[in-house]
Amino acid sequence: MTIYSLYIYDRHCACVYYHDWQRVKPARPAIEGGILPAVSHEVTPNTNTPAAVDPSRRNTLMSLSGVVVAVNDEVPRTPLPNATSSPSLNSGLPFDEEAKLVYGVVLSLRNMIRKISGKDEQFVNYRTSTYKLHLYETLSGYKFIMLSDPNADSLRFVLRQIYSGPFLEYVVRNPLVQMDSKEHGIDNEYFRTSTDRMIRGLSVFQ
Amino acid sequence: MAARSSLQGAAITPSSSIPTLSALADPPARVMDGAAMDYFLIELVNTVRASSAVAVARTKKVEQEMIDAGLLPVPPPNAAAAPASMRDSMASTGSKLDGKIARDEDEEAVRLRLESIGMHVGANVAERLCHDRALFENTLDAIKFICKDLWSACWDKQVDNLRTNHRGVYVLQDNSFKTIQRISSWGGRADALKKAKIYVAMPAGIIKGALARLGLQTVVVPEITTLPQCTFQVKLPKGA
Repeated sequence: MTIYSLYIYDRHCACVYYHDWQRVKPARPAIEGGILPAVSHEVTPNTNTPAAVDPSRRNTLMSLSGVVVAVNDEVPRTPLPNATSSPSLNSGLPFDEEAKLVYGVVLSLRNMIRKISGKDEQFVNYRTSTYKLHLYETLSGYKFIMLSDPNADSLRFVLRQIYSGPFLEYVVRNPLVQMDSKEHGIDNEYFRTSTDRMIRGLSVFQ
Repeated sequence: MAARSSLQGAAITPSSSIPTLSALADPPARVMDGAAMDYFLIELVNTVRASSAVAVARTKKVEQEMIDAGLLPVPPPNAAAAPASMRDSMASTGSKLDGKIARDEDEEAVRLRLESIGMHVGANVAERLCHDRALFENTLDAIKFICKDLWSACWDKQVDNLRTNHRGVYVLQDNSFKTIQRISSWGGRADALKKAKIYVAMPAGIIKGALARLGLQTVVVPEITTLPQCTFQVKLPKGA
């Protein structure tokens, strides 16, 4: 039983934090302006290397062990010039597209379930053949989404622990983190190391 | 109202009102939720920053008007830091220097405001904490009071290390100072350290205010070497 990755979205529907432990293909940096600064050092666009982004390869059905990317055949929304880059980078979406997809899936499922079963029903997790996606939503609109292998039990309690532990300590009570801002994510050193330590210390991890 | 009724009751039924009177004289300690205090202090710094920016802009505007009206002499340009002959080539750095100086002035204004707020708070807290204590024999005693009672009242622990040079300078060291314990930044440790400096201005003011209320005029300088360790250097005037 392993845990693949963690996404945190705020109530403005933007990804404010990303952390991964295992991926088949490395996360690709986002397009400039696609994600907020301070989400994750791995996926922040680096303006010095424009060759890292290649959106023209998106029309494929990819199966990463962390994210199943089912892309329709639409023209890419942000027209960017084709960049020549090494084949290892032409895999999967840039991070901001991926984050939006994950959020979109969660939001649509949640709304559909509410419409079908009423307001009291809550979307908790869903499972496919390669991964399981768990959702924990707080009253303040923060959504904690975790992807794990399909055989895992419900990890909702883990997400709840992340919320009441590292999140409250190092994000809410941290003077330097602007919560609810539309321009910054919530990544910082202490939060990252404490969530990492917490997840790695779980019995369900690897 | 409650006080008056208890005093009136004292004449008639002393036995039942004694607990009320003693409760008045020695009120139970009131505590404040630590998290609520943290949130309040975070907002305090942001608010003071915004309001001080407005105040500084206002004084600058008035100054500029007076300069334009000829009432004040024109101040020497800040590019005096860069030699005048090289001003053209250093125009960009000159403006950067101006920007930096302006930002430092703003930070200094914020720091002063936070420190004076801290002084008021510290004075009143010290008043409350020493209401049943004996007088302090000497300065060292007063500093020790700060290290123990004030620190536990404000930050739930005691100072870890107190050093002095016996000539009026005391260094109080806290290895895990509560106010900056959770500060962490996207930009790494160095960035967090730089930004944390403003958050220790108010605690320094608390110490200064407490000592002032106890009769000692001091200068308190906070220093952060590594997060979350913080030292406060307390300088007493000569002869104390």
